[in-house]
Amino acid sequence: MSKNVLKVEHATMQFGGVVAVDNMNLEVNEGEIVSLIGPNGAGKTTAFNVITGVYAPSNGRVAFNGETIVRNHPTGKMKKLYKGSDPELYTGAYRAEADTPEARAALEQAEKERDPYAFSDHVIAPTPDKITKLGMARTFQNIRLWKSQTVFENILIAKHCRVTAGLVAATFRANRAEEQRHREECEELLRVMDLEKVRNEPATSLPYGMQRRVEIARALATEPSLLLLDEPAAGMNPQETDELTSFIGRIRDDFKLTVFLIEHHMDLVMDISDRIYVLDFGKLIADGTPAEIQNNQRVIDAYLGVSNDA
Amino acid sequence: MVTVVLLAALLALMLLLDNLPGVPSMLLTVLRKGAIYALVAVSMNLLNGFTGLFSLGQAGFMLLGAYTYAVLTIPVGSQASIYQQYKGGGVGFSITESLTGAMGGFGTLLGVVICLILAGIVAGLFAYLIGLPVLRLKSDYLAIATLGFAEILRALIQYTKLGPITNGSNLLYGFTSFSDFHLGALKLSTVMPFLFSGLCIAVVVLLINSTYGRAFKAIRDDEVAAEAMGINLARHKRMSFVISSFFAGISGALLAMYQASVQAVTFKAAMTYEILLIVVIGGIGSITGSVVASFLFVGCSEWWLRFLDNETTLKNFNAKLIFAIVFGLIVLGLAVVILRRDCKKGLPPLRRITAPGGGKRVRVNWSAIASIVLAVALLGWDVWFVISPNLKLPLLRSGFRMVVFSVVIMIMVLFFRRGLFGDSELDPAALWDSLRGRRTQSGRSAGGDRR
Amino acid sequence: MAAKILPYLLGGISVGGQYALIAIGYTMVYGILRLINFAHGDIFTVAGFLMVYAAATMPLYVSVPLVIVLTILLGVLVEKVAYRPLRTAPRMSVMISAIGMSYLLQNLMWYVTGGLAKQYPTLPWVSDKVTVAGYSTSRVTLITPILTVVLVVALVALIKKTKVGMAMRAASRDFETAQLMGIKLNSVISFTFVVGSGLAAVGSMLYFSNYATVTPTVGAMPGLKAFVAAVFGGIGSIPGAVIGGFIIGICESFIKGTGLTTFSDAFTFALLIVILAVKPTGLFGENLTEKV
Repeated sequence: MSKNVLKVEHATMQFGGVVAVDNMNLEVNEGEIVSLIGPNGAGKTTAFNVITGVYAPSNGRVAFNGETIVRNHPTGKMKKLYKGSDPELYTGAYRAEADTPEARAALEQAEKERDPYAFSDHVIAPTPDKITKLGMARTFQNIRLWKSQTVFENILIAKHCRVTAGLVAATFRANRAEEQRHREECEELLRVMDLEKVRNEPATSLPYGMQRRVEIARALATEPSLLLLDEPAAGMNPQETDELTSFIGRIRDDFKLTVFLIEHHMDLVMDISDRIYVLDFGKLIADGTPAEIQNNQRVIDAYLGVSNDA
Repeated sequence: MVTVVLLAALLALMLLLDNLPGVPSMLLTVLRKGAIYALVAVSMNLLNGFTGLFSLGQAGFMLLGAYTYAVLTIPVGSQASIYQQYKGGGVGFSITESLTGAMGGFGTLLGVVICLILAGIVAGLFAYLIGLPVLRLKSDYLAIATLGFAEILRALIQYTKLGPITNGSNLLYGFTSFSDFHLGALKLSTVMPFLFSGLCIAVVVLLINSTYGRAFKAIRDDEVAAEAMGINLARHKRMSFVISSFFAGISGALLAMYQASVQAVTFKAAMTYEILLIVVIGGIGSITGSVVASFLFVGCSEWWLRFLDNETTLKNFNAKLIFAIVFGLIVLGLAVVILRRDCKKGLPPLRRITAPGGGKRVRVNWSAIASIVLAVALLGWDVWFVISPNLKLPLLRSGFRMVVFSVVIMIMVLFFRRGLFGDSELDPAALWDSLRGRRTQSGRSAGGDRR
Repeated sequence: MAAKILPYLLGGISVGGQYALIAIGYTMVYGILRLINFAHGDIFTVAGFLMVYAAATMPLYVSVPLVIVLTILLGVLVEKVAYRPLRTAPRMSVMISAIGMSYLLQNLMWYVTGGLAKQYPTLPWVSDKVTVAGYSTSRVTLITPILTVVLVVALVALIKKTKVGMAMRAASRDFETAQLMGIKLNSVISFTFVVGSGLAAVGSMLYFSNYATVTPTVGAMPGLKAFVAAVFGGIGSIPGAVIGGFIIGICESFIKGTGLTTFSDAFTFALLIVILAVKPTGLFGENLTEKV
């Protein structure tokens, strides 16, 4: 059984009265490519935002490589508004269900080993940069490149989180070796992503498909072990999508990554995924291998529909 | 490398200007004040232009720097008379005096450098404290909050209870200023501000081109993406704020040295506005722009436009005729240019168009009509002026200079929003190479990939 | 005890009402354009100067309405020249334009008046001395709050009950959609400036009846304080701006009474910082749930 890289537990995200993600549980294991699919507005990007720390979930827990990186429970106003389940799961008020004291103690012990902060009110809500530094990188549904910078600079800036030199050292160039090394790594990424020819172009002047490649290269520059891609094939023609499919497989092998992606291009998803999770109205309605998902009636009704060339 | 040579040449030039006879004193004034404003403008550009944090607190940090410097360098002997209102005022020592006593001329320089750095540190410290609550705010709220803090600092400095240190709202003077610097018989009053300012600006340039500078630019362009790529927003914004204020403090101290006196009332919000306008004119995001615009701004406001303040009487009819012809040609030329541009864009003054519901209507381009009316009026006045026995030019009297100046600034703000240099720099190395006929990579941003 | 605080209270209410009238202009413009109209304080000062010149040459019943009309024209002109062309520009550009306009207006005033402070004419009846509870003050102190309240009530009615008012409310909620719904944005914005400048003109008449010296920079501080009042009450909320104005006026008056005059200005800014730190949307501001 390969190591668990990402684990999302009971994650619920509520904005005011609207529940965007409802009690989501999923796992991603080392070396896998897992996809999250579902109709528009199902809450997929919101799930990404919870995992990467952009939002603190209204309730729930996220663990990365076994370590709890996000943990929250309803407080204040949210306590009254909360429409999800198990609001006390991540608080001190949670009581393990068991009959005998020994059984309860054993359950508590198991729980504590899984979640070190179990049975406490402890909240962990880091800013996204901390999570990125732990080794989780993401791309965005609407491309967010830095428009005043070139392609190369966009990738180089992503290396900043791996810089060990302080402000003074960097300003007075005492970090030449590290800077050189980072630049070389970025050049390598340019080569791998086939962006060498455009390295000095302003990043946002490129065609859409190329900009997506720059975003992926940028995410890779942060040296992640888990890569989250938000609709990487959006705006790509079928040929580009094919290239992307083989490309994702290649970087997974070359960079020793685990990949978690959101996508609507079903060819890409079915081709490349080891497992698929399906989200509809914030709830997970199915998960399994591509074959299982394609034959799942609930998924077909909600999202996939029936193929015309059946 | 080229930059270093350039700076050295610049300093040598200043040395000559300081000591050659016959150099107009206005030129030296503009150069000195321009150098100081260049440093403030660069510090503000670092914050506003490169990190995207719209802050209006510059004057407050300059104030802190100026007072720190002044208080620490007033000679002990003069402290009693300067702090007249607050008996026993003054800090009781003077860093420059002590060092001069121990090490002579070199001691003065060392003392000044130490006090400048202290001035920056005090400003930076306050920036750190202020930044904690304020940097979270959205852009216009950040602007007003920093403006507010600057005003609070100004009131604080004038507080009578702090009088023994700050001398309340009274003047501080007598401290080490630029005229105290000599190298033997050579005067250094213009070299020194250039030297200090230049060194500080060089540090800022190094910062901008370092990995932290790039992180600042990423925050400016898209802070959500910057955060996702591992850049801690709070820490980096604070960094930028503190560094910008550090240099603003140093420039405040330099201003004190230049004026040889310090008073809280000069560091009003109006000063911050002037710096902001300099940054905008030079180009938000361009260090070269800020430097050049500073000299232009100081030159215009102190020197070149001064003639507009003087009541001018032309010598005789011929002079008046020449003036009228030149004036008429300028008005005509501008009107023609504006109208042609509008017509080319498809907006003639009057145009018959088909209204949406059918039928013909006349669309009027009001600004074109206004330009025509204005031009006709000015030309009419021109003719009347020639005919009349008057020899005195109207409008030119005290205050006109600043009005013209403000109009020029408004024109730049409205029509040339990217400023003189936009967000690109003048790369001396690239310029040098191209002068020697070599093809290089474009100098799009300072240093590009090569530094 | 009451006799001791009465002068400060009255003075505070008086100047607070004047701040309130200016603050309304700020809050309305910010509500729609998201712009801090730095030039508003200078328009207030220009109104003061206009009155000085007008009253010297014309009878009062002509100069008062004339000054109001001219100030309104100035406000609309500033909007047309400095803000409308930058409607699609980033926020910082517009704010810089506002600062530039403020700079221009101040320099123009300096040029025209020659830098000497002008004495504001005493408006009869308004500046008369009256006695309130044994304390003698000028009638301005009594008129100001009453006039302010009347004007604000009328304004709020206008915003709630008329089509123009509805257009203004729509524009401040969602600029682009309001345009798509056929609202003539330019007219709405010009109208906003008309109201704001008109109220500033009235406010200037009341203010300068109290502090009779007019200089080009005299409007900067009241302008800034009025802005703080607008933020304090909740930017975009007219009742909030008014309440903010009165609170600042009264507190300032009491602080001056305790002798810390240098801090009366600083107090306003300290209040600003506190409100921005604690509740940035102000007393009556609305909390927007952010959907990213």
